[in-house]
Amino acid sequence: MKNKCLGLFLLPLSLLLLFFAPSTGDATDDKVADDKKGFIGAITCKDCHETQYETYAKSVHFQKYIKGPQSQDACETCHGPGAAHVEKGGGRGVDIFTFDKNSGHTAEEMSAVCLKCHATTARMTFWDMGQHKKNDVQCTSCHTIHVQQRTKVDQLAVCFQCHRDTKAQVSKQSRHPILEGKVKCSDCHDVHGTLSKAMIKAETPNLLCYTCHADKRGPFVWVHPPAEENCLICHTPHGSRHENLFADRIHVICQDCHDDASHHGAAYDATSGFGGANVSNRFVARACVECHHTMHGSVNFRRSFSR
Amino acid sequence: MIKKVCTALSLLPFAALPVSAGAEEEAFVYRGVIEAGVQGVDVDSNNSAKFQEYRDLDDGFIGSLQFDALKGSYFFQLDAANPGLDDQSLDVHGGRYGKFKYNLYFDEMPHNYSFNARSFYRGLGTNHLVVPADPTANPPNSFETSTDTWSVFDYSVQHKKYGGEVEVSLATPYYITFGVERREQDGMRPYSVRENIEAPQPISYTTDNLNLKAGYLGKTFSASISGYISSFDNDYKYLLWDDPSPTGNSMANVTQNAVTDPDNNFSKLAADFSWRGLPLKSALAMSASYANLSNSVSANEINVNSATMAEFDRLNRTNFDGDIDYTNFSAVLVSEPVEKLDTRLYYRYLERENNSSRIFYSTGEGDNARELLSYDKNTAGAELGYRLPYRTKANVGYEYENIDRSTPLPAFVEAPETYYRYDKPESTTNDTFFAKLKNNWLGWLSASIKYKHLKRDSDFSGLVYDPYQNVGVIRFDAANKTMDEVKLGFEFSPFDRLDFGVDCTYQMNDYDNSRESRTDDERKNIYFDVAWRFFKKATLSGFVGFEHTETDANRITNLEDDLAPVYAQYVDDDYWTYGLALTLPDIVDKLTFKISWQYQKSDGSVEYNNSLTGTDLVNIEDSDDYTKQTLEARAIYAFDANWSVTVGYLYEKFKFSDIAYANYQYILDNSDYYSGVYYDQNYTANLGYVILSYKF
Repeated sequence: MKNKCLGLFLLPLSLLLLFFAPSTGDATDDKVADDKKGFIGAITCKDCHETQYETYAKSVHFQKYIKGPQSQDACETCHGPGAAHVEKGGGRGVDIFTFDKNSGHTAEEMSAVCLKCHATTARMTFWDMGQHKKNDVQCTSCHTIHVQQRTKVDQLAVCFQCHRDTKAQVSKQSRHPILEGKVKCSDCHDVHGTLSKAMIKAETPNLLCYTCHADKRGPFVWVHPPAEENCLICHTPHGSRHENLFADRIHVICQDCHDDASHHGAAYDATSGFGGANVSNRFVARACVECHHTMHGSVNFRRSFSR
Repeated sequence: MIKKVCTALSLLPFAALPVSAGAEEEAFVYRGVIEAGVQGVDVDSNNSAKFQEYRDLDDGFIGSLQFDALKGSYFFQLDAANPGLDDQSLDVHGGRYGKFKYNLYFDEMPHNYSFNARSFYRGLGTNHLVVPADPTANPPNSFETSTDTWSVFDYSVQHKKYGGEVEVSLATPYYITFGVERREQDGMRPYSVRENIEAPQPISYTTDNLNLKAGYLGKTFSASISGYISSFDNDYKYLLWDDPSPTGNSMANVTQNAVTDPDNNFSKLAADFSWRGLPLKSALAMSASYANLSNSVSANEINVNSATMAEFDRLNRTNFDGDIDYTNFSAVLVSEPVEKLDTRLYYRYLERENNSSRIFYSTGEGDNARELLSYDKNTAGAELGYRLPYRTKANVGYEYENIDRSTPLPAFVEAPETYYRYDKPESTTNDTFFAKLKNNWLGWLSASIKYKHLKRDSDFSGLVYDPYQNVGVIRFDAANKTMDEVKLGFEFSPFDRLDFGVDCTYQMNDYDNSRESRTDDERKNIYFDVAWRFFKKATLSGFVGFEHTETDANRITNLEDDLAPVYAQYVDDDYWTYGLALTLPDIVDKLTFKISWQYQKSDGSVEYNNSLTGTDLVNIEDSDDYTKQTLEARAIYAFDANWSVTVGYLYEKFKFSDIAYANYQYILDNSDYYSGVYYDQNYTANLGYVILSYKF
């Protein structure tokens, strides 16, 4: 208890001290490079694009302490030199680099602008290998640069722009708490690229699922081979019509493998329910799981089927 | 250990202080939003926890806080939501640009399965479930026959997650990341102590995670090594329960033992590297990792002994040492060897080796060796993309994947029959080919078509029991099959403020040699959305989703004798969802209005073909059927630039029906006892709230 209290005290104190400590005047040049050829400086841009400038001024890009636009050529770091744009009286995309989808620039060209600085960040290590780059998704497809104030990123809205199938699935009756924001797309997928299939944040689906479902890891004395091999054989992760994210009605999915002697392969129909003429305790309520509750594996030494 | 790590983590920011000493003073900038309000909830349901499955929605106060502060190169961001509620969260980000950053978080969430469940057991929530005598019976029964006197409880597990991470780079190409995390789960989850006796399993799980990563980030070359340790602890490793049924399969009137989830330790060591700027505009990335999952379970620890297990004295050992190794290697090479052509070559290797203890009884009674699944997986692929004229891109690719499970498959003797596992094919090979064409020449119209073909071959040569090979009842996910899939996609923006999108998928799986089990399945999905921005900032959006799945199977009902299908089964599932959302900012001066509506309908059935052998099976019409409607409306009035008030309303109606829960009974045939989990999920809920916001 003592240690806990000490930790609770130390943590905010250290953060506060750190925050109020004087910061360094970093050796970055916040002077806009208006003397370079074709560059006009941010003040000129602001004359026409005041709203955009204001949002830029509130963003992390305005930080002069990092290698970013403000320590380079401000607006023109990303949009390119603006002299020709000004000379022609402005206009959308006129002699200026824009990130509109109708700008005529390829996704790679647009991402290259951001990657000038962001390529050397840890999260972009595998960008070249990812499916997003391959499918012409550029940084601005997901990231909005000019925003008024830090807003909580609505990750679902961003991802669902393209992943319409997932949008339909996450609201199904059986699902992960994705709509509540307790599980995010980025908890399982690394959108900036991985070497794994479906850009998941682990080498296999099972190793990913075990991050939260540590109780299903085992090792078990008795295992269920499909469960050991791939959780996605029985479960569908984004949402399901069936309880517990099962990919199909439970007695159906079990019988697709266990269609043998005894009750495994018995026929269950509409008369097998509580109100039917041939009620079966293998069909009612949670069906197979009512007995085979250790379907992920068990460490019971007993050979009995319920283990 | 975790305490020491947390203390070290909290002291870490002090370490950065000297770096800033003596520097000039900078202005302090802060901004944020404070929200506070009240909400009222009216839920019309009997036992449904569905409305609150992952959230805490009750009458009372609600609020949130967002606080951002900047001081020179330092930044601090705090987000707090739903303080004091079961789904509260606190997230702190901070650091110094270019030097270091940290993140501290606390997040909790309920997982409510069912409210007002019932059980004749006493001692719920502990790991000893006791059967009370029924005082109303004469003579008293060993259990209560009237559900009126049963214990009432909620199936609910509270999840908590807290931890922190620090990344230090000190404006160099090198960086170190260090994080700790604890996850806790407490509550009760549905369980079955014996066949058809539903009772709550007490849950008290703790998982401690620790990660460390060090790396180098260069313009063309980056590399990192990382370590991860995760330890899972279960406070209730077994559950003692009294058997209420003298005619049950277990020993009657004796305290029985159910074994739950084992503790485990997982550790992983990984190395990654990527190299850009290679010849032919190539980039190469490689990743390798080794992981170990282990545990040690003694019979004594889980209360397994001769009193709780009949076969105990015949065991070769009473300690199980779990030991599974994972070895991974992945490599991807992307290139642009000539203009307009891009290539991607990849290889992935996974070895899962299960070296856990072999438990066996006496000679001829088998063991668990056939359960200790080990396998190797090799995946290799090549993809080519070529940019054709008129902004058209063509992609083709091929992937080879082989899973080798060639571990011994000993016979499972259960006299007088000898069984061999039919769910463990020795190897499976997938050959996948795809071709994709995408065009966005018009700028406002983008269209794509993708075709994928998969051919799967499984080798069941390890299964020597002929009937199994002939019958072909094999696990469907590994059975021989061909899959054909076509995907169409359109993005359509005829005007600057109007966007349409459509995705369609048709997939057909034909399980070539499966005469029984699943024979084929078909999926048809279509998704459509539209967004229209009108007036100044108003938005009207809508979407429609439809999924249709058909799964056909032949059932033989008895593997030993009947080699021909007895009946055919057709599972038919439809899922519809559609919705609309309207946002009207500044509908009148300072007033913003938002409204959204969504409808879902799930309709499933199982049909039978009785003509094969003259069965009289009756079709199932209610198979996980449900409808759900959600309406949410919100009006936001801004008094000025800082103050605003939000008045909101949420309506939800959920109706579920399934043949397995219709006419639900707690006691069946005086031997099966159900607790009511999931049986009545219907609800209608109305929620209203008023929130005052102050932006600074």
